[in-house]
Amino acid sequence: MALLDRHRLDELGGRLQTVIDCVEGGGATLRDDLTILGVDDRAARQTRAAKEPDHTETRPGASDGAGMIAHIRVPSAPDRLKLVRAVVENATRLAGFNDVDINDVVLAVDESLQNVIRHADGGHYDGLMEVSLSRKGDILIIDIMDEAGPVDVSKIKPRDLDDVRPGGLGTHLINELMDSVDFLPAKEHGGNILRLTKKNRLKQ
Amino acid sequence: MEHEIRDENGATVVAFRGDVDLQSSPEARKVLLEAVARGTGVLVDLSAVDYIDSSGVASLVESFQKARKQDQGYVLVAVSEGARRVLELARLDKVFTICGTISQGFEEIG
Repeated sequence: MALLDRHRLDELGGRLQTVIDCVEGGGATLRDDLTILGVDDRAARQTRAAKEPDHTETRPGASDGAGMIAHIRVPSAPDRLKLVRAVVENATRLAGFNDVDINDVVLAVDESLQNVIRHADGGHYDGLMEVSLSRKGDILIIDIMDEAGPVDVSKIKPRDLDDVRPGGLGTHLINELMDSVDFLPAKEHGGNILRLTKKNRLKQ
Repeated sequence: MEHEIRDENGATVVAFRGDVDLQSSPEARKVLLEAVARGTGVLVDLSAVDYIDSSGVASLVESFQKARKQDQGYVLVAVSEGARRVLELARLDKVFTICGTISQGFEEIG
């Protein structure tokens, strides 16, 4: 899996050849047949992306250019969260959101960064975290990026709130507070990108 | 985050001020568990809390459950607007006993 992951940006044929090279490269005599089947959903993903509204474009860095509001990069540490919250609060205010929505966006970003600090690389991630805020029409787009190992998205689920216990609320809060929450395809050099969006309903 | 802890009317009052976030919640948790360990009813004053996140809420839930196991009263009083919003989103506003004022909190604990 690590091999496939390292070559996840290659075309399918290249990825298969990488596996074949790995199998053949050991120098051992090959005695059994081996069939490798690769399924690439890249074309389907492009089709899906074409059908989606502009604000869900998968390329990170939509914050470049005219829609850019703010960008901050900090070490993955709890004592930097207050600084990020201040930037997010002011950027969201600049985008014209009301106080309730501003507080909601601040909390959602904070909880997302907490997930990086607490869970990335098994809780040992000590790299950088980036938050990029941009505006496209009346949609606020927030990309939260790290350079940690790939997140297993299937394991990120909100817990049952009827089970009252300490912890595990972050994912639920993020989903409640934002209009959309999606992991984007990783950057070329790895890492994770979580995209949050929220519509400014004052501008309807 | 700053906190104050005091005995009043036979109960323990814990008041937090500022941001209860991932950086400060370990301290909040320690303070709350120490308050519960005193064995009296506990009132947690959240009137001056500017910001609370899921880690701060987790500290409240843990200390509340410990108090309940020991049949101690535990109420949140004068919950700030921001803190109430988070409790509502987490659907904990129906789990905690929440009083509008500290005097109502003392009445609730009895």
